[in-house]
Amino acid sequence: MKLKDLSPAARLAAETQAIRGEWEYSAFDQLLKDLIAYDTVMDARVAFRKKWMIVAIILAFVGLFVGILVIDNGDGEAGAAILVGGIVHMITTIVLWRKAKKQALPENALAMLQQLFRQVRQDLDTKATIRVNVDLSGPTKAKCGPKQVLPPNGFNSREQWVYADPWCQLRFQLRDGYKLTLRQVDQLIELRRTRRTSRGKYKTKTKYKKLCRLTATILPPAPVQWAGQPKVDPTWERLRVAKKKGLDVAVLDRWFLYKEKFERPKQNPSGADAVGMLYRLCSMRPAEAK
Amino acid sequence: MTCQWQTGLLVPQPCEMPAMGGCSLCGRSLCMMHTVSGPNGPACPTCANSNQGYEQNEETELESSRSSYYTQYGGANYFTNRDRQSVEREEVEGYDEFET
Ligand SMILES: [Zn+2]
Ligand SMILES: [Zn+2]
Repeated sequence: MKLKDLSPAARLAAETQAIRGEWEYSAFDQLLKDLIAYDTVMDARVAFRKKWMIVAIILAFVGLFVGILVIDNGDGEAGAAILVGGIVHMITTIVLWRKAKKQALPENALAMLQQLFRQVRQDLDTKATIRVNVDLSGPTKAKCGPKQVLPPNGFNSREQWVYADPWCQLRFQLRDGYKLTLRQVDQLIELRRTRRTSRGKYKTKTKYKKLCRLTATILPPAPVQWAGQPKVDPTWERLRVAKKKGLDVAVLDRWFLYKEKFERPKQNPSGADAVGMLYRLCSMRPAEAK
Repeated sequence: MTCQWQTGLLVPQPCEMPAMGGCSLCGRSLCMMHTVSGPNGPACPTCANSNQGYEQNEETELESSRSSYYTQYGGANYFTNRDRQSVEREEVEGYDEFET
């Protein structure tokens, strides 16, 4: 599915890399389906352009030698054309690859939203809408904090960049009047360590860590006495019960950690992870609400 | 007779559509929408999910996630007794195993 084939809503979301506003379940599900189809095409394009770029880089190198050889043999114009042509072609492919990469969407985030609402679809209040504020642009430069210089710890230097990406906010109402919210904040940490090898060369390695924090909240339609506490994993989760505007709210946080050695982690909590949190918050409702 | 299937996950609610038949495995009455066909005759989504050879649809998939949430998180006092019996089946993996 290409950009021009998308529905106006999906096109807007793909172009702005954001989903906002109030949505009916079926329209939201259709939007996610369209965006996932669009992203599949974009991912294929990124893969294709990457291959093309690699070929172009090799050709540019070959062109460099061939061009110099031709110039040496007296044909300066043809040699320069081969040389410059190879480099221009290489730059073009790099630009196109990066452009496609920017257009691709985070498929795991879209899949999470799709699975989440497909599972709770029958529980939604049909008279209410889903309030959505989703940013699909990922850890861009604007979300990166200042460079942190860490104690070297045996390395020559350790530098760290932290991206904060509060990309997901959802709010919807259940058939029994309870409101649920879900928020996700991602923290991407890039740690660059430089070490001097025994031969005196400097070697730099970057490690990537992604810490996702999912926060689910249940808001009752009127003050309640919670029925009890659900199962909570002490390592990765925290449950808080508080009062907000006179209402008893329960908040469940869950952290997810992903590590990668060579690139930014693409993983994301699944929709089932999110539903598992909502499910437990819902089990706190007093009996008459069930 | 009305359909005895419970719809939903967070707010379970009886379907209450007119029943057209029953589950040949557990006997509860079912409407057309909640009847799944398979080798042992018409079945409810729970039985279709736990028996081989039944077609999978949205309801059986929902039933499968419902039972996994139940086994993972205990379900508190959240299900009716009949539903509790129907979902107490094979254990699913611990929910934090993907962390490691
Ligand atoms: Zn049955
Ligand atoms: Zn039914």
